[in-house]
Amino acid sequence: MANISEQYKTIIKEFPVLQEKAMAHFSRLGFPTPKNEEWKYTNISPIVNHDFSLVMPDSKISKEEILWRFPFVRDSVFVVTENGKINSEASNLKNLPAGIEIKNLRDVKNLPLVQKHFNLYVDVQEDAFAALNTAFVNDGLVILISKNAMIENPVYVINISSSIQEAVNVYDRLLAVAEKNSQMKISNIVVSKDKLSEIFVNSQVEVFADENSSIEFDVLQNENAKSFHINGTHVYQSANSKFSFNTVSLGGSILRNKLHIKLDGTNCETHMHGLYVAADSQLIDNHTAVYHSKPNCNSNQLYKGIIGGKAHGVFNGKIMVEKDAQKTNAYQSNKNILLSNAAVVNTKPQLEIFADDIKCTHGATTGQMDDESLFYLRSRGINENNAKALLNLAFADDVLNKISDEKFRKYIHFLVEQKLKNDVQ
Amino acid sequence: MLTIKNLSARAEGKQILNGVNLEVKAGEVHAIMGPNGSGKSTLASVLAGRENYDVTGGEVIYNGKNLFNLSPEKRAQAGIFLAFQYPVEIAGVSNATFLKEALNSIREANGKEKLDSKDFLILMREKMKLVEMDKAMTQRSVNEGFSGGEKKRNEIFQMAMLEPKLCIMDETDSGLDIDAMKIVAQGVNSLRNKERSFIVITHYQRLLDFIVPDFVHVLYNGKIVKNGTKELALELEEKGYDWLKEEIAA
Repeated sequence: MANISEQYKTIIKEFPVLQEKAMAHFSRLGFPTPKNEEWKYTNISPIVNHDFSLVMPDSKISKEEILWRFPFVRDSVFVVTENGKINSEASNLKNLPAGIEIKNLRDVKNLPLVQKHFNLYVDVQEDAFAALNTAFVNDGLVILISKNAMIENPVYVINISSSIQEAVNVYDRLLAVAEKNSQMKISNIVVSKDKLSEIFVNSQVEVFADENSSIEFDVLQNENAKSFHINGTHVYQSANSKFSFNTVSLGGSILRNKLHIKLDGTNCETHMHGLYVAADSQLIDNHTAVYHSKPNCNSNQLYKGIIGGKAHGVFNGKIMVEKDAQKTNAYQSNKNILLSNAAVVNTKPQLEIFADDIKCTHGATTGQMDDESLFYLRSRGINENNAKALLNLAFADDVLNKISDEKFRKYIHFLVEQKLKNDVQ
Repeated sequence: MLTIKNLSARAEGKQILNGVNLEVKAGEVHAIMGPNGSGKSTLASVLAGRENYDVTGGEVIYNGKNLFNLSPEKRAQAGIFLAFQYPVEIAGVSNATFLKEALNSIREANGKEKLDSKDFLILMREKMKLVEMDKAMTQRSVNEGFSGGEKKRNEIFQMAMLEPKLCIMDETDSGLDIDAMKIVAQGVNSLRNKERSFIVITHYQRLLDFIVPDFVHVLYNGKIVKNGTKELALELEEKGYDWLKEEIAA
């Protein structure tokens, strides 16, 4: 990505001050290397040593195609971004329920709520990818839920990317703000348009949960085998808020998720669940961090991985309990199944605790499939591959069952099952 | 249907079967009895295709095919069913999901159309009655949290669903009280017919009061040392195994 500063000069700047600062931070930081503790197991040189253009695809995806690909969104609100740009024609933003606004960041940049929250939670100063994303920000998605609004049905955010000849760099950006006493559900689908596109997606997500709000955020990452994806998701929770985050990572050559949640009010509740299924030579990395800053908050993490082929899984889960955060309950569990001798997983809990009256547990397991169970299923006529898929799917269901949006869950369940039956060995 | 010729097998470096010979014809019920450690469960495991057993000699021909060329699933698809002595608990896989997958795999392998959910449910309801299974059991994870008796009933329920040609029951009576044993035996008896054969492995004669065998064989030190009919089982019940051991030693 040697051409990055040249590219930066060519773009239109909607937020010149922020962008200049961000670019300066990036220039100072540079790309992380494995010497950086946070990137110890995740070698991103295939991304850094690759050139990506900012060329947009010639033709836009149609609403019909979206509905054909994702039929379950038909009766819901959905918004489509293509290579980071909002495609309004392919979206369904009509008949929005009262209390929800879905806007292009450019159009609402002067809104007080946006001015207050945008770019506040991502770590532009220390995170090279957050800095780059802000430096290149143009379109972005803003979802606002107003005070007391209870939005029952999920809003689908579909991020789709493609390239034609040259590999393409995509910057996705999302800001979601739930005001006091509100409730919402976001179901995020991240995909490539086709199998051949070469894409590097840098996505940054900021979520602000005001007092008494409740948010569920479900993400399906299913990009093609050539794609790279580096994500940063930053959540800020106020008192009495509830936040559930479920990530299912299936596709992509290198996929890295950073999920940082700050509990900055009392009585917050946070659930972080992840499933990663890696085959061939995929690398899927989840770095989570939950910061308990105030008393009486609960956080609960469950990440499960199924790793086959020569694939590599990484889980790093940090729990920080600050001095004032008494009566914290923090749980973390990471479980992995390795399906082959060449499959690798690195798992690391990281606890930093400065309060004394708290409960905090963590555990990590890595094992193979249970031979007795496998034999039992095979002895009933189920062929080996399907028997393995059945057992792995049962392992995965603990996470999948956390997704409350039934249509989305069924779709993801199907994709996981297909991947387990066909690709993961 | 099944011919076992001079079968020898090792497990964990130990020679366990030392030349077993057995001929099972269609529709026959054979009981294999023997003291602990005689090789009964090893025989069942080798027939079902469990790994960790090395066949060191002999052969097993099942309906004209060399059994050892078939994977466990191919054996099941060809009609062999092992009712396990210790059925494993599989968390997260519901009984119904598992059985549907199993039944349809077997049907597919035999060129039959897969059953859809509706037909599968109808069949399941019918077969549940045979072993007095309740609906809740089919929705629970496979054997998870089942009592010993429920696990054994579940094995027979699966047998009824999959309609195998050769049923091997590995100490199905162990851990069952008399009422549970009656239910299990009733289920098995309802599955008996002219085509279907059974190998009933048991330590005690008690089960054979309910599932009456055509032939009884005694396995000792990895060999069949005595063949007879149901009277042999009664004799063993009365005298125990010691007289046989002495007879062999002499």
